[in-house]
Amino acid sequence: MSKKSLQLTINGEPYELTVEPRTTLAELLREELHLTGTKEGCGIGMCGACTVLLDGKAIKSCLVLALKANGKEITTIEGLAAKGDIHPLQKAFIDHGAIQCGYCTPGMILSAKALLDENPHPTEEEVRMAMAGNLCRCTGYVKILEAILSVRP
Amino acid sequence: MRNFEYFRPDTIEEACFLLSKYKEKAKVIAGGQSLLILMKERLVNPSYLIDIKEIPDLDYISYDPEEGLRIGVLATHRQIETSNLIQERFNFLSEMEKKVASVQIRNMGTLGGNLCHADPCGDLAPPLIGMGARVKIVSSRGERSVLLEGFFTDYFETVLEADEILAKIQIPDISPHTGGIYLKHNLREADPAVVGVAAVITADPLRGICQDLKIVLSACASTPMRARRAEGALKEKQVEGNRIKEVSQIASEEANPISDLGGSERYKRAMVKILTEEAIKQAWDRARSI
Repeated sequence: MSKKSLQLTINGEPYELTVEPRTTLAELLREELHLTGTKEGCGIGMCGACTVLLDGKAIKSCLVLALKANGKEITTIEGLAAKGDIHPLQKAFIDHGAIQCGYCTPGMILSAKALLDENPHPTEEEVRMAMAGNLCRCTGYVKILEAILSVRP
Repeated sequence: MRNFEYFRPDTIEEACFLLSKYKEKAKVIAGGQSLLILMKERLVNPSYLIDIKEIPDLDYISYDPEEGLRIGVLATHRQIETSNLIQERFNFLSEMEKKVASVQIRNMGTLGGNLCHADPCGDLAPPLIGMGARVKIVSSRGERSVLLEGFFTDYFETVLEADEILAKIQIPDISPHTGGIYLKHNLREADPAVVGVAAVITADPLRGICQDLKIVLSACASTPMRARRAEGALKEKQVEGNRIKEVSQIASEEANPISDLGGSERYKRAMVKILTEEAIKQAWDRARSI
């Protein structure tokens, strides 16, 4: 099977690559580009650990072929910190103790970012709904919810 | 996942041509939110993957007085959920889309793809069948339109021939005094339905009776399933407490769920009864208030 060319932007950087058609976006990010901030948990779209933004929308990168990102803009957790300053959501997660093992955190933060970019003043219910596709296996969701709510302008 | 040859056609005609060339060896992919899982599990191993997602102008959501609501095969769940047109005229549809998986899946996945995947646990087919939806199917040989109710043939099987593509979903105008709802039972918000019940009821406000109705179950058979005996027990009748209970009991007897991780057959039947009762009440309230 022949490799295919792929052009995309990741965290503002343009990339020109060739990939096997069966490569998922999560595999491309982690194994080819070594952007290992994106985590893969279940691999079947249930856990949300692999959440990244595709043209600003939260998607599960384990269920998207890399070739589907052709011509698109991808944002991963590595793209959130600007010039050494962490993103307000990252800071809020630390301040609220919304992290234990940290495996779900990149996906949680990107889901929250997609929500706040679209709807800067979500209700608690809207935050809960937007985060329903992200599972945390360490703890409950209260601190995560509080962290996100604290970032509303 | 096994490897495959990947095509990204620019038009639906080109996609149909590729499909007519490779037939059973090819699969059409739109959002891929169901298909990729099957490919990763190696349950489906296409040699050729035809990605239609970037074909322009197939993600429309529009209204036509004759046809009703028209949804292009590439409209995502999220587009349908947030469409002003749908919220104004077909709010029931926006409501049910909110119950599909998680926002990440709804951002990528399409209604057309969800229907073609034909998982009997799918949330969207039952309410759409309740609303009398049709699907337009195209191929290099021509096109045809079938009632969604007749689209599903078995677990993950539809009437689609190997060279056909679903192109459009059509939902007729909602008749006056008609209310609908879809209720599902699941363990966590983003999980698929353990069982689900759609009820669409048309009230006769003068006589205060149920003029027409459809009750459609998900995860209760190898395809989405109409509970016809239950429907018959309420049609042309007054909608009141004891009768709703009887009708729900009939629906739970008609249902044919299998025991699995989601619950035993007995448990699922009991849930069908509870959900049917609630769905009838809520659909009836809506039908009377419109």
